[in-house]
Amino acid sequence: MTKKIAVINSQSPFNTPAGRESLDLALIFGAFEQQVSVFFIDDGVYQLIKSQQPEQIGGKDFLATMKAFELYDIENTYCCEHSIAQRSIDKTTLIASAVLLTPEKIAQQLATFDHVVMQ
Amino acid sequence: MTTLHIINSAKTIPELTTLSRYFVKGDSVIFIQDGCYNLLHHTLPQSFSYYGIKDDSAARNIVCPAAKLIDYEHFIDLTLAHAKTISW
Repeated sequence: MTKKIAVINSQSPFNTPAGRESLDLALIFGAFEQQVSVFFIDDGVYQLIKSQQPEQIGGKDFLATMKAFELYDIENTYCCEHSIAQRSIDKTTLIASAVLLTPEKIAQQLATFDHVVMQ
Repeated sequence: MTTLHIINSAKTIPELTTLSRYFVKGDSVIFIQDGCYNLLHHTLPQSFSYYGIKDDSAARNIVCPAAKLIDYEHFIDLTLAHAKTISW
């Protein structure tokens, strides 16, 4: 049975494995043909900055996996506009597939999901 | 007696402003690890010198002309050039 699942990401990419794990989770749901959307809020928005080079600090470029979202039928990538502004992040430095939403819009979206997983 | 302030996590502008109240003229601030994200804020007070670890900011694709990007050897020199360090 197909369910609508939201995966929320709220941590920066390289200090903890949280970001990589939640991406894996989203891909697994996608592989099992669930309707998945991924949300980036708080420090999680740092994951959406283009051209990051984790190899420089001995990490793996797991962020490149986001390019495979379409292949796994992951429908939407949402990013919190408020979190972006708070962190002085220039919108043009974000990956193109991310859709910016206000916290209110994110709340409305989340209400439409069967399950919400927070990382 | 100058201090080297070490910041290793991402902060919001109000948090940074609060922190900078505890700095005195001549102090230096270095952003390491996730602290490099603070280089995105272009409102850093001007009376201090700012540094960032080059590899840490390159990994996160952070560019900031206001800070000098250095390596760990230079970081050690900085700790020696100041009387003490504070890790916030």
